[in-house]
Amino acid sequence: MAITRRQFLKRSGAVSAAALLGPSLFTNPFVRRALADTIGDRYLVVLFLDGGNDGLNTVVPVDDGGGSLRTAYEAARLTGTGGLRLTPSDLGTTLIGADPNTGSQLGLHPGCTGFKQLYDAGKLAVIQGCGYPDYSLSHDQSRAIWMAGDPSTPGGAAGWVGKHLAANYVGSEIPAVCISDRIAGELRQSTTSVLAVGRLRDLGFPYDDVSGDDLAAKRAAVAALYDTAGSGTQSTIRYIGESGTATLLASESYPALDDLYVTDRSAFNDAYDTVNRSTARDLREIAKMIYGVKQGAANVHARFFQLANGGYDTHSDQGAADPAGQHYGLHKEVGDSLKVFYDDLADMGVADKVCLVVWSEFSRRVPQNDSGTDHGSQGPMFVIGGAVTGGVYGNHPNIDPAALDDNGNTVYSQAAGGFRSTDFRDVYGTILKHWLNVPAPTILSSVLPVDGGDPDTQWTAPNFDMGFLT
Amino acid sequence: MGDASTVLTAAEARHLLQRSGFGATPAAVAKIVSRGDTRGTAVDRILGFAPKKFQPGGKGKDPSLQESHDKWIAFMLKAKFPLQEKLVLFWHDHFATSNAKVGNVAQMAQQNLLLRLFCKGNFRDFVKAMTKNPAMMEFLDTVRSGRHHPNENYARELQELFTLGVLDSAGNPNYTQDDIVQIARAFSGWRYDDKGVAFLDPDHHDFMADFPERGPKTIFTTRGGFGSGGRSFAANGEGAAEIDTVIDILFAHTDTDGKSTIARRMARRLLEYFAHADPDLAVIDDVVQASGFAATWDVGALVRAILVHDAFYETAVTPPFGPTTKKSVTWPIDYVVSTLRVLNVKPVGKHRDDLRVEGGDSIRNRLGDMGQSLFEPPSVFGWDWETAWISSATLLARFAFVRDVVGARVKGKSGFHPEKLIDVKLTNPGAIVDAVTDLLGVGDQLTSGERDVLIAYLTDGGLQPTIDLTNPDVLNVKLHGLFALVLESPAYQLH
Amino acid sequence: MLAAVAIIAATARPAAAITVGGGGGARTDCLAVFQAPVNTPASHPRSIVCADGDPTCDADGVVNGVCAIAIAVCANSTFSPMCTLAGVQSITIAHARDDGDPKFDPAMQALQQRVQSEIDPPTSTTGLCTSPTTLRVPIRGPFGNGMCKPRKAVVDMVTLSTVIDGAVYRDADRLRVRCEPAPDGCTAQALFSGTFDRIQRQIFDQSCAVSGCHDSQSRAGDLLLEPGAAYTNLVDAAPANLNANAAGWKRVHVLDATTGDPDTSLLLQKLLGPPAGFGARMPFNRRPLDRALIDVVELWIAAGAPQTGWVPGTD
Repeated sequence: MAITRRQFLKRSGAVSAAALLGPSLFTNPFVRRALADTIGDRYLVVLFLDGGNDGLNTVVPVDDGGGSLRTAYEAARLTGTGGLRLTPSDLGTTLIGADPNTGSQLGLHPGCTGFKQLYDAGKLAVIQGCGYPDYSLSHDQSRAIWMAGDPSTPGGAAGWVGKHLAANYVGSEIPAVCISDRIAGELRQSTTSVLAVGRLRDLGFPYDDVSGDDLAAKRAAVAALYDTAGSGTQSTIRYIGESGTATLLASESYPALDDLYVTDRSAFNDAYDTVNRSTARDLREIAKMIYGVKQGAANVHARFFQLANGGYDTHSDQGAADPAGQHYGLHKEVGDSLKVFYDDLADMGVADKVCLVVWSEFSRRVPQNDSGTDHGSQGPMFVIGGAVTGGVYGNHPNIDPAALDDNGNTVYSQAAGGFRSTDFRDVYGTILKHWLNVPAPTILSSVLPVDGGDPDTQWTAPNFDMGFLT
Repeated sequence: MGDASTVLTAAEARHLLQRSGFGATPAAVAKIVSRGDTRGTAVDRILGFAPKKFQPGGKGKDPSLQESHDKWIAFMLKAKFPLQEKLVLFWHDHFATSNAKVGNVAQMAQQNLLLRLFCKGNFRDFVKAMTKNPAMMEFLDTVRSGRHHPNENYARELQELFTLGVLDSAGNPNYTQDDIVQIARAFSGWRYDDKGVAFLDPDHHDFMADFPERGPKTIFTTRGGFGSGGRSFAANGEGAAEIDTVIDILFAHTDTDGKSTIARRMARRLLEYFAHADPDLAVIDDVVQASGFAATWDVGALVRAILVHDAFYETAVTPPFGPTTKKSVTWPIDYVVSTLRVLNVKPVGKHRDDLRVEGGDSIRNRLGDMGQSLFEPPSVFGWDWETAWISSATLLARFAFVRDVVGARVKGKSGFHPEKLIDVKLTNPGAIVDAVTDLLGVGDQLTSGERDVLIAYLTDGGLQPTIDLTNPDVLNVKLHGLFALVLESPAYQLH
Repeated sequence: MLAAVAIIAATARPAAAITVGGGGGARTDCLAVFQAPVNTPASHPRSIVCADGDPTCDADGVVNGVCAIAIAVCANSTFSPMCTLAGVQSITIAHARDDGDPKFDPAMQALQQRVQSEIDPPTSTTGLCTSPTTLRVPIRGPFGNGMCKPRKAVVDMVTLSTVIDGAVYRDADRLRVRCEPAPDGCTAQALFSGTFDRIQRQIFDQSCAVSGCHDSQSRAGDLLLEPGAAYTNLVDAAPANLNANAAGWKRVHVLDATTGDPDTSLLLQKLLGPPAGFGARMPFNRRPLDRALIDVVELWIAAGAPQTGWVPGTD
């Protein structure tokens, strides 16, 4: 394949051939469209709150309703120095619906103003008390379980989204991008390519760039070598060739999305800067890719994204309603960032095409310690999107001191009755079924295997119709 | 058709050195050829090491993961018998144990020493030792297994991953859930002391249990060729010896064809590692037979049988490549260590700094980005091999490492000095390309089209009929660039 | 609850933050710096020596047995004319990962998180600072002689630059903190709200519920000794050790609301050195606890192990 020599741009830390490629590459036959017939023109974003978010101070009982959640809350969360109690007045401007079980009025943490706006717009589903049987208090183990969607195997290297990708995409495609240096556990698999990139503008083929004059020649050679391999008949060589070609083209196409977005959408570009936090910047990178796909940018077909925000392991100095507190700052950051992201998507006209799910590996201990909280069990998840039916789903966990286990954590239960827990796999399954159009039997056989054993304490009766997506 | 007495060609010698070690320098290849070594004599020399008592991170210390990692890498870089480390890597994958769960680097280092001491030793003794290894006991919950609720993790993985495999060559199951349950009982109560020595805590072990209904343990009543009675071992009294009894029984397990299940499975795994995925059953039986592995469990003999077998030399074939050609993707660790060794680039890591190529990112980061974090395999299944190593993210990580290497333009041993690796008096573009691709071991693996691509690069599409490598500008741009291209080429990702 | 707290709080003023390079060569020192209330040595302050309750350095301004030190990190600082480098690739705070690191410290994690979120490296913006996070350094004691001792803490930070003129620079910074007991600030009544609160905070939090042991991440022996979990994990709970269990022991053996049996309480015996077959002495592989503290546990158990209030002789 003849490739004419072109000028290359030099950027900080990396070199890319962004934006200056001719039409011949835009129609490269190795790069296929994402499988439109699987998910249409939809996107899925997974946001991981790394460290174990304190669910009890995220979705807070404001009153007792017909039960005693507020009373139990006040017994566990104290006032005074280091106290974590959020008062009804702290929660006054972030009220949401009532707990379906006890009727207790619920409020979001006062830092969750962005979440509250999305809730009021009917685009935020708050799913209370999500967990799994025989919970682990280890970050690594619990994170691995949530990422794989499977508590049963010690292995299970593939992620729940990854298993879906492996079944639907091939080696020459890049259906997923992780906003990070590494591929996150949710996306892991070994059948198709996933890109890991912190900032699109820094993505580039890592040529040795001593002079810069020689880059075009290097680029031509790399492209030709991988092109040759990709047209071979030996399957391993062909796989490497196709992956390499897709990688090279992506390394040149994705950085251009940065310029495209900054030029076309400067108001929103600035809005993320106003939030001025890494979650906002990470979401902006996703917005750039979605915008790129929408504008028909060449070689850009990503539909699945993962990002994470750290800092939720608030063993100390967690803070309550003070805006300078750690937990406040985390909620403010994520909520405000998501609000800008949603508004950006709505302005692009694709809010209905994007579903975003927020999870954390566990919640935290019901009784607080000195000034923070230790590792716990079930916590809330959030699902956001234009097609999401907002509201409160699932029951608040039972935080009555007598109902806690010996570790001071809430108890997972699938038994019928008021405090039945939500299994996180029901949330994943609802997304797979109603957003990605995967039939329930396929979900159960290839992504989310059910538990065996006691139906009151194990996940034996999946519910993939939770109602937040239909 | 060849055998141990077949004299090695240069291409075969290079292949042997690459697959059994980390890269092959032309000098090492020439030495084998000039001596007229046969496959057998060359392999005996490669295998003729006494396992070194190297433990990354040292004894009695509390190393960080970074320290242990870097010490192991440094050891691989200067290993005199690289096959030893190639085997340790194989066993690290086979007995995959991750510090993510163990959370104790000293124990990981201690396990690494065990892998080295047994790397070509008696496999049955190896399994017995691994069963009592503290890192493994933590990783697969042996230390959390008591008589009331025997934990089945180790009992399952011992059969599924470490010895028998789920299915035999005929596709029949090798064991049942009941076998797991019975074996888990035998392993209950094992703990280790603060010196890392395993002992049986009788309070937690099954044989002390006053549960008469449990009775004697019987395993393999339907599998393993033991007949309908299976194999029993005592209900009470064996105690600490029980664990070895179970392993001895496993090693007597035979498959549907009446062959040793473990011998066939380990021969398959090692063939997959040293040669390519999907070896023929006939080849598997050949090397088991030739090595006597099913009777002696001598890993070294099995490895020797593999390295002198025709099937081992199969992936060394030259173009044209067709649908039936066998190729194998290099592991990231092999990619990194081979490249540094062949190019004679010595990474730096002073004081508290991570080991890195001068001016580049830390090698541990690069390897992690390529998908292989040593001491942290993704699961008990180890790493996924072959094309699973290749993804956009991992390819970019390989190329970023290449940039680190060829970009190390510093004086001394920590830098990359191509002028010392090939003859800079060469002016013919084709001769220069051949020198570089031969050095990197892919000279005969490129198609003529690929060779032409490299020549076109060197000559700016034919504009420069001769190349003056003594001109620093040409050397700094084109020769460095040529090395980078070959390291980035599809052929160099394979062997 | 905290009896003696209010006195100094009334006059508390915000702790002064001074920018400090903290180590490494003058040329690289500004890549990342700490902002903290350093005060030692007086001529060119680099470290913090803080008396519990001193409002110039203890952010909570109260005598409560803990110095709360507000620490921020700034990237590409302009504090020193000697250093003009700008371009931070990464800032790594030591012991910031809850991955079994025995020195894991949640305060370091909080600081690292603020760096990632608010500085968001790589960046070349000058003078970019995080909001402050609080490093809580408790004093040691009170011990049997009624004395308290200072405690030291260290914050280590390693910064790598982006490629600046073809080179990567490394800036290692260290901030030393020493929290000293306040004068008259060493009585149990002043520092704790009751006997169990003292056991929790002076024994469990400092010697047991630490990384790699009885904390949530590791949960050694299936025993959690963190606040909120320790009491229910201990009182009237059956021990995992089979011999102790068979002998009818409890972790804390309570007979009725005001009586307990220290001799058959595994918690106390583990601190003293248990009989053969009952496991190792605690804290594992560390020096035994101060005898006076073990006495506090014994008195507490003998008094029926109340969750609140003071048992005579333990204050």
